[in-house]
Amino acid sequence: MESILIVFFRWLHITTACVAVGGVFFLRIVFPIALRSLDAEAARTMLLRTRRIFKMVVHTCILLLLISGSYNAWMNWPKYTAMGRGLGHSLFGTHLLLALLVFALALWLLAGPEPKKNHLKWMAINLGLMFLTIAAASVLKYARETHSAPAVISKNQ
Amino acid sequence: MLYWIPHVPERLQQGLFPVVRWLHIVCTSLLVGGTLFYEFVIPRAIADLKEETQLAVLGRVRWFFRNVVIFSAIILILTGSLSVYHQWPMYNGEFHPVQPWLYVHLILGLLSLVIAVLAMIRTRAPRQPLIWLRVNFIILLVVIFIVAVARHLRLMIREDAERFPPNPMEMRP
Repeated sequence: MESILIVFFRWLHITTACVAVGGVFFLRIVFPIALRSLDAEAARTMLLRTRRIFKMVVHTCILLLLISGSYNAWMNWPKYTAMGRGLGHSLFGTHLLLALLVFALALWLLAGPEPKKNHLKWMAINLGLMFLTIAAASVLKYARETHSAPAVISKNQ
Repeated sequence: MLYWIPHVPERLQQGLFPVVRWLHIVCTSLLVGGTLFYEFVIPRAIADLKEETQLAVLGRVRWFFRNVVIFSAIILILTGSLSVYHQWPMYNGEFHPVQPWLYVHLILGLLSLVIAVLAMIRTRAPRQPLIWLRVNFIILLVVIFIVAVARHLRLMIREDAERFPPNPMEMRP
């Protein structure tokens, strides 16, 4: 049962992160190109409609990321401690802080019926922070897998 | 832990793996999130526009998204190959039961990339949502699930190996 939950929550975490990051990339980079073909009024209507639909997607993603992330952290906590010298916890802390910053920025950007002033600039900053969050997670995973290579791996090389 | 390129400093090679993994996840995100946005969000957002305006919007989005899909597909194949090469010892020996999951991940991953590229290189924007991209979205979710299972199996075998290390007397030829 525990194995099923571990795999499920890991899958949920990665999938939800992919949907959120890809969605923000699409909304910030691809979508403005499409809006150029419309007149000002139609472009504004479409932006507001898309924003409303995307808001539901992002809110769901944040909830699922918090649930799956909490479970993953709870399960991996002893492994972070075992990495020694605070390496695991500092990398996890960086990932968590960046993620919370991304959530806060996303919630602020999508709050209210109208987009914020300079929303495109802030969305680009949030996209950059998302990429950094994934980078912190990648380094954490690599550090966890390499901190002690058991004899079976060395034997296979 | 693992070396992949001879004569290149170990520290540099160690730094390469997180970058490769980061690129793999970022490109997967662009494909998964982009497909969801293209197939499920945009059609709802443009539902009230006139048909020619809808086609103009879809055509522009499609033109840019096609480049994103092709770029992501190339990077995913490159980074995936490097990761498999780098982690090959973790799919052999004691880790042999993980190999079938790796192959399923590879086959389904390649299938999803082929479907995505073929669906996007059509020259005209379709009036109906692309059913193949919706199927592909499901395949991408399955591909991520398979890799999560493979990783969990690998970690379980590794934890067992750490708990019960091989007897040095048995390892002697």
